[in-house]
Amino acid sequence: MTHQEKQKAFVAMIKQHERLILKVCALYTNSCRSELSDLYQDAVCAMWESYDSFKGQSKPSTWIYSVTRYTMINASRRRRLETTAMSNIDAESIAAEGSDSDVLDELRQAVAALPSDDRDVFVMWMEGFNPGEIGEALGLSYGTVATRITRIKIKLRRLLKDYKEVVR
Amino acid sequence: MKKKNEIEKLYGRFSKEMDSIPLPSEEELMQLLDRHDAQEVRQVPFVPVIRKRTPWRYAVAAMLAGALFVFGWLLWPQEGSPSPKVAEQAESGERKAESGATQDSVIPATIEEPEIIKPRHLASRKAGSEGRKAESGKREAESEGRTTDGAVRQEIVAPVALPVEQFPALAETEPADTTVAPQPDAADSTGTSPKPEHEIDDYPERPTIKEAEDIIKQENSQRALRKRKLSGKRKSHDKDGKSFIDKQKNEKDGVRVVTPKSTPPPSAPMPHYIPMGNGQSRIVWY
Repeated sequence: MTHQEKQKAFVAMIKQHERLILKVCALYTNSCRSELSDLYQDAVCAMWESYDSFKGQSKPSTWIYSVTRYTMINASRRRRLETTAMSNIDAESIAAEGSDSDVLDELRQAVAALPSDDRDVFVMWMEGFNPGEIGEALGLSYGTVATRITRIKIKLRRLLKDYKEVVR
Repeated sequence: MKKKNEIEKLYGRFSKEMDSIPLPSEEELMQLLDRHDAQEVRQVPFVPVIRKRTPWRYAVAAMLAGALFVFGWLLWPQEGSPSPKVAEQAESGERKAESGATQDSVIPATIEEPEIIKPRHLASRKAGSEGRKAESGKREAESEGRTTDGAVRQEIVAPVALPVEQFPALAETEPADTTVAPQPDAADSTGTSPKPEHEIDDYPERPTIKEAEDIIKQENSQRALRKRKLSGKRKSHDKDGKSFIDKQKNEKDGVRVVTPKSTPPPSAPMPHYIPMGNGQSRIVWY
């Protein structure tokens, strides 16, 4: 396989799961819409770097989710180290843009309140992965994933209720 | 149809929100990947270059080697100064020559230095062992009555008495009393010689075996008494010397041993408090 062919195959795979990448980027980082495209590009570059290690043993979506997740964790860690001056600029730019929707804030608040393991399970489950695939990606058994999904639902319902009360 | 719960509704809205965000097309993605590859290539040039050995390194190495050589040369014994062993041998040769015991045999005062030169620390160790050997040889020679250089020690001989006939002046004078005058305190009527000082016994006469046994018995009893007093134990024997243990054993066996009761205490009047009934008491002495 030539370099061009490899690139084409990779791009095709990315285009197929681009919305998944974007959602993971949005949920794992506290970034606005304008920054999401940059994060998306970072994730694609990271995936391209490790594309040779993908042997096709798991589903492409599982692999994409895992790589994007780790990239976003690193990005959020990097952002935490940045100065507060940058956060002020971001706030101004967000205000100028008319801010994100309430939906994104609401869901981000709820998902951020979850433990990291539960967050992974929740996002994958909402993206349509079955418990077997989630377990394969996160190293958990089918039963554990199913139990966690049930508990996460209960927890999120309570969190969203509290959030709505706070907003009102 | 299953009713969607609130979370699913929220996630659905979130998905719609994400769908509205524009993403790069395939062409843009290809360009992005090309740029990324190019950037990687630019970052690659970091390749550790193995430096070749430069002449100045050889110069430094040569200087170090020279310094080590000089240092070793200083530590090594010099050719001019003889080693301690050689010096010792020369000295012993001189002594032998002076004593005359070995005058026939010609021993040179100095011995030529051996060709092999050993380091100083080895030489000093050798010298130490030689010294020890010499010391032991000296002790042996002294015990055998010889001098260290092999000559037989001369015994001091008393002066030879000269014949009186040849010296008449000496014959007229009274011969000197050579007998040792007895000490006044040492004179004994019995004629026995007095004991030397170190044999004088300051201790009293030794007791006989029986007396010694009595003393030991007494000391043992006193020690036992002291021990009993200290430990607070009861006596094992009564006044008559009978064992309490034997008495208990006899009583157990049915043999009643009547021991005389101790004398009653003197009948002195004691105060007795007799209650009167009204809360008071009366003292009666009897």
